[in-house]
Amino acid sequence: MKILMLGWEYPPHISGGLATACQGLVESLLKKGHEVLFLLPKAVKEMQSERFRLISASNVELPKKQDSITYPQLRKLIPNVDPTQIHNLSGDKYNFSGAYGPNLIEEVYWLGVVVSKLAKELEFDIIHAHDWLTFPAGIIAKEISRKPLLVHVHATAFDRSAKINREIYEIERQGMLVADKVMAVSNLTKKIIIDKYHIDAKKVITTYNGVKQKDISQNLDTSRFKEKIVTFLGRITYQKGPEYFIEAAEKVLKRDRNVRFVMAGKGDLMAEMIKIVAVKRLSSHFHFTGFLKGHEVDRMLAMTDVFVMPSISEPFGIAPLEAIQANIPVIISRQSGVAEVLPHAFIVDYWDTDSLSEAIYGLINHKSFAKMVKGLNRVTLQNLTWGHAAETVSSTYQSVA
Amino acid sequence: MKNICFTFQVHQPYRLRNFHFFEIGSHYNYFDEETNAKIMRQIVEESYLPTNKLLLNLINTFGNKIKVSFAISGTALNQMEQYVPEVLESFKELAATGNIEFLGQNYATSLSSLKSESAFHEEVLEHKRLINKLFRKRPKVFLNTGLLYSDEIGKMISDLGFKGVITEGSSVILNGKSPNNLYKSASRPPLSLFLRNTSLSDDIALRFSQRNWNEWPLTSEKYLGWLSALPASDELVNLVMDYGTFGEHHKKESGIFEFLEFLFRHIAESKDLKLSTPEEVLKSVSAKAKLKISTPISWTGTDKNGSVWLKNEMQQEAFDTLYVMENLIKKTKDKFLHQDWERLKSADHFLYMNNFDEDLNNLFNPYENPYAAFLKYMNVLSDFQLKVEDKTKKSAKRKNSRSFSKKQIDETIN
Repeated sequence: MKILMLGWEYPPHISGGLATACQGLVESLLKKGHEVLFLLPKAVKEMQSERFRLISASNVELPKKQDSITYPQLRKLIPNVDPTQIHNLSGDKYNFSGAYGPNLIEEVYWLGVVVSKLAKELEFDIIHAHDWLTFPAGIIAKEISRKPLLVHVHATAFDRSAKINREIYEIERQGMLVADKVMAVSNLTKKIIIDKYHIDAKKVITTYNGVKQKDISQNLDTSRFKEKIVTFLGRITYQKGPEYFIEAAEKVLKRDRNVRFVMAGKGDLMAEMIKIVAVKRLSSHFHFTGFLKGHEVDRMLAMTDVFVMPSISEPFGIAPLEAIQANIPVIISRQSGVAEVLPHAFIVDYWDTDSLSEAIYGLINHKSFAKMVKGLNRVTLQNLTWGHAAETVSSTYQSVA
Repeated sequence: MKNICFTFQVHQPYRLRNFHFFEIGSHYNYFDEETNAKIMRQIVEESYLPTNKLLLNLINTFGNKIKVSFAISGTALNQMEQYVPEVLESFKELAATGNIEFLGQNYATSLSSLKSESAFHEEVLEHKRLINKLFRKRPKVFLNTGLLYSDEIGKMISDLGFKGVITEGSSVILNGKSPNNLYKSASRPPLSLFLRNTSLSDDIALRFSQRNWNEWPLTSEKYLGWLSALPASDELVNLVMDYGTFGEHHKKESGIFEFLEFLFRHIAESKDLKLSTPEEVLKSVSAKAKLKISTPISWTGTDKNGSVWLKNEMQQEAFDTLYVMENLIKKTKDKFLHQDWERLKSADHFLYMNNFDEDLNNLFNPYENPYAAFLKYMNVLSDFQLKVEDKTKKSAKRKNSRSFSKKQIDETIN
């Protein structure tokens, strides 16, 4: 089948797990014989192979005249953007940043305009939209082409902050309502979609992410520290539960000074976390790395003895899978979708820092325990491929085509 | 006459408290009194007391035609004493009839027979003393943890004065021979081997209330028919099961009590079958052949060996860490340390650390998963190690200070 896929990022442009997930899924769909046209705001470079095209919306000429669908729809979905107040128009193209900056909602709007042109000119069988950023574009593409729309929910407004953004919630809800099928990255997310967005359960399908199988025997630096390294890797935001990691670190360090904690990543809570660590007088054993790029992530993992993901709300969470691949024992919160596919991971409630610190202490002090957790998880991982994910997606395509 | 030997195993471990790693070094209590008492009370009420009563009634009616043997662990006996003394009285009452045989065991149902002969030796003697104290009985036949047995273990058991031992009638060792005869140990021929009849025992212990079993419902008549149909050359049938089978694993509503009662009545009235105890069998039946068993067998798991307790890395690390301390603990001569050490040796702790795939129901397993079981156990063991070290240092200090003061005195005098 020919798929018009709408996304916000694609490697090498990576901000969170979304780019990696899109790539993993696309590559496996291609292997299954599908064709994919992938539209995103701004591609680092446009790519084209036999059955794959990465289209940068920044390079698409805006439609010359208005149609009866696009602007009314956009006015309804995104009432706060005024199309006459355009900031980044250059000639007849809109210059997307593709970032998550202050113009985000405006870019979401203009992606809808761009897609209206493609929906008329390109041929495809199905529209597959990743997350709310592309849902307005997905809805417009469906209305113009009359092709089925599948929305793929990697995260919801409930996972992003304690305070729900009503504007985004409404866009998400409209996307799910209009869609023929809704794909959720875990049962946790499926439940939110049913309970909080009131979407018919029959329409929602859980599609777990996969993980790229890669060779871990590469030669990377190991730790320069004599102490064990416990790592938090991800955005330092409310949703990721960074303060619980610090709390657990404090408890472990009270008993065992032979360990260092690393918080790798950046985010809006970073400054606050640095402050908390200083107030708790943990700074000599607690380190912040800032944002890590791809190969730096690999190096960080190579140094790591225990990987912790204490997320408060994590729709899925690919990071622990990468840690398992790097042969590291992982501890994840029960509030992470990925826990559903890792029956042998060490699972704790995010707020239970007693259990979390105990597990960290156990993993750094008992070799057999770490070995078991690693071994059992690696076996699980072998069955958690993007090929499997693509199979579920494929059969969902079949069901609506 | 075929001998039907019913052997009931009664065991409860001292389950650990939720001992957090913050508490390592605190030397707080390790055991979950509340849970242990609750579980003991529950199983006593649902199983031990009603079954004891049933046996007692049968003995009152049929006299010495009703005979069974019990293997009651030391940790179970101590918890009965602590939490539900009336059940201990009920066992004593049964013992007083003279129709009950008590089997030898190691005190805490440990795995010492696989690791330390000296520890095993001590545990068996401790259990023997307890049985003698409570029931005025001297066990002659032995039942090891999970029916663990090998030629090596046989030597240890025989050296402790036992005449017979009960182990699993595993197909690996039988090689087509019948489990329903008496055999001899290859390493210590005076030691007789009683082999548990796996399928007939499990028909009652495991399958009795399984509705998808093609023999369900199992009636006492049907079961009696199976016993009677055994070839004439079969001299004894060993039916060994957990005592909780009656009323706990199979609830009252399953009809398990009626089954047991009528089965015993039929056997008591039968011309070809009689209920016996192992010690009696030793007098009337002679051992057929020697059985060579070089690697340990047991009645647990699919492999029927020691793997359910010591298969994975966590189990092995915990096990090795525990036994490394043996000599240090002996040196302290501390009663309380010794008691903790005994309770920590129960095989149950290692079973809880078994892999996720094993079915550990019916065990009152207090843990969510094997990781939690391992972490709690290791926290306790770490604290226990510190406790033993403290004690060792203190006694060393005492000795030093004494000799120092003597020296001081000498110097003063001179």
